[in-house]
Amino acid sequence: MTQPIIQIESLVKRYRDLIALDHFQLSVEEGEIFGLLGPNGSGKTTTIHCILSLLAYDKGTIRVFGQEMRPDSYELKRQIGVVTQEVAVIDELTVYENIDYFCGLYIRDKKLRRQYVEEAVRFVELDEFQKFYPKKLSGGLLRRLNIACGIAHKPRLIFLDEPTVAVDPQSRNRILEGIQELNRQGATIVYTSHYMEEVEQLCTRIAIMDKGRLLAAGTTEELKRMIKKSEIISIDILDLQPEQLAAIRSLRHVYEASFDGHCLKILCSGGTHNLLHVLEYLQAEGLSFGRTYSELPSLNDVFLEITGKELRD
Amino acid sequence: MLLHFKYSFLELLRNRPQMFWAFAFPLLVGTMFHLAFGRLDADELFSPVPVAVVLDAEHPACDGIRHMLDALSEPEDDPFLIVTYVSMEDAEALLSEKEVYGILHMAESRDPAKPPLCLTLSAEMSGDPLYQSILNAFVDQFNLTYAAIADIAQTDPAKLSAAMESLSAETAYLRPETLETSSMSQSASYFFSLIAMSCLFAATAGSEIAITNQANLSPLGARKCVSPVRRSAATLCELSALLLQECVVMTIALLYYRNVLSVDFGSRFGYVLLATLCGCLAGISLGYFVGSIGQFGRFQKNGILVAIIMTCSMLSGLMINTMRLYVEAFCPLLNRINPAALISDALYALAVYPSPDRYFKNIAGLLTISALFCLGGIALTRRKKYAGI
Ligand SMILES: Nc1ncnc2c1ncn2[C@@H]1O[C@H](COP(=O)(O)OP(=O)(O)OP(=O)(O)O)[C@@H](O)[C@H]1O
Ligand SMILES: [Mg+2]
Repeated sequence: MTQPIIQIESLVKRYRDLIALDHFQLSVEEGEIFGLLGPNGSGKTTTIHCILSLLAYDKGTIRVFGQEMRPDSYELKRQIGVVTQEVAVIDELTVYENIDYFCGLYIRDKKLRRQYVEEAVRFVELDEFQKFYPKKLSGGLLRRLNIACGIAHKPRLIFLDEPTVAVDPQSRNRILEGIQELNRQGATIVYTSHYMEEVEQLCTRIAIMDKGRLLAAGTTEELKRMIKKSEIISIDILDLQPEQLAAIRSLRHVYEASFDGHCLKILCSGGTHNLLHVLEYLQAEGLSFGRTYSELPSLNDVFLEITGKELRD
Repeated sequence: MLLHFKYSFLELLRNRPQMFWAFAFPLLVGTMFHLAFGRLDADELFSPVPVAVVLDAEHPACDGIRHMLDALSEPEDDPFLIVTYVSMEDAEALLSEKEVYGILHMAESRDPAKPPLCLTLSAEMSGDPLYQSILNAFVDQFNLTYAAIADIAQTDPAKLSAAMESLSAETAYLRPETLETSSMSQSASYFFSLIAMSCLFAATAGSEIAITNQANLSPLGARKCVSPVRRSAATLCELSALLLQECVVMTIALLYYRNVLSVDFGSRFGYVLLATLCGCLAGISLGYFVGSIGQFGRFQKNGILVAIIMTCSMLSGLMINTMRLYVEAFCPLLNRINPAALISDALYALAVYPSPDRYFKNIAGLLTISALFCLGGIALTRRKKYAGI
């Protein structure tokens, strides 16, 4: 097996009394789009800052490209691109100049840089805004500029820290596609977010963290297999007696059922044809029902079950 | 690196508030000075100040004072005073007839530890206040010098001669500061203060550079810190861009003073320019150093910086004319490390001494502290991992 690109072992980071990272471990393989998923304050940004050796940490080891990362590891830094969570651009420079400036920190060659900068501008679709100053850009456009500044130099390893906050759904999709494109071109990507759909759609492997601890890691399927529930059935029903609800609970594979006045919600674990069994029961009871649907568990459910709380408050 | 420099410079040029203040401070205040002190240039040619002197032969300092006054009123030697030795009654008569601007007399007490020289000015403030204040400054300076020498004589007589020498240089320095002996105009000295202060105010821009290069102080700093460029190289680049900008601004300001406000800097305009540019360098490095210290944010740092600038300016006599002389008498080291004092001293030295020795000493001082501040700032920020971001 090849060596992981990022390898973190029992990383501990304390801010005075607060333990931001608690024996956190992680490994990212070359070519992955790795999603770091966790609610606000769970330590995602802290993790990235530790990897980049911006933050001093209390314990643990971090290896990037198999080497220890230090503030003066310029050769490693050259291969890394970072899109920070906070927008960090220079207000006095135009869109194009900003990208050129940051790209210039990595790429000396003038011609190559121009090509890269132009590609980056196209990548985030800011062509029309090249001459704009950041102050004149809307929030979403500014985010896109922020992304372009971080990736223009075509790094091998890219950190994106919640890059799509405040970006409209269309642009978001394009950004996600762009990230996949970067990945196809060979970049390994570490992506943090608290949008589960985004992570689910984009990432090849996901780590779920909360309160500085790694809760689970794996592909979406692996994560979903980890939890008990495998199917969620929702049925609109006007009226349901408590005995009937109890009967439904006793059906095979059903481990929880609830009724909130007009919607019956059933959680199943394992088994096939669960929906069919439920519907058969309802028909037998002569109950009329409306919309019926069955969903597979989402990452949200995974998170919910692992932590016992809703990911998005 | 060239690219970095270019963009840093562009960034400064396009920063409207920074540009505005960089220009506004020296230009507007200079114009105000011109309007306020323009009159000084009208009585540009000073005549020696007529004074009546009443000596007290029994006072231990009498001979010394007489020698000094004689030296200062030597007719061939561009005299500072026109001295008339008289009795007290005659002196008062001369004063009331406005024949003299003031009466110099000895203190009642003959205790050598007390200041020996006193000044009586006309009670009605009818005389020319400028001449009166010159006399006043002269007496103050003399007494201060005297006290310092008396102190040294008592505690460490061996150092007396060295002290005498340095202090007599100080007295020499007072004259042109308030007088005409050099080729520079009276109002130029006010402009020196203004120049020194403008230079120091470049410090705020210097500290901004320090802040935008530290990951824990600004997101921009974080981004710069993850780039494969040495922090020291990048900051030096940005500092030189700032220096270039300040130099352009100050050169324009100086040219404006000279050509539009017709401030007379004498024949050594080049030297004035050099001192100003070194002053800018010192100001910028001071700001960079302060910006590199500690964890606190932009707001606190700027507050601290303004406090430092004000203290430096105050101690260097930008607000109270004789302040620097007091500092020189009681804690000379302070004048060697205070950039404001070094800038104004360099400019004064230019006005006073035909030989540029003292001027270059100050320039060297400015360059040294600039280098120290820059190195200090770099040492504080290089290869740093931050405790919190
Ligand atoms: N400079 C700091 N000083 C003290 N505590 C901090 C500091 N920075 C972060 N923290 C704390 O560390 C924890 C982790 O913060 P972090 O920024 O890594 O979270 P995050 O997962 O990126 O959250 P978000 O989704 O909001 O970006 C939080 O509880 C936060 O309060
Ligand atoms: Mg974060």
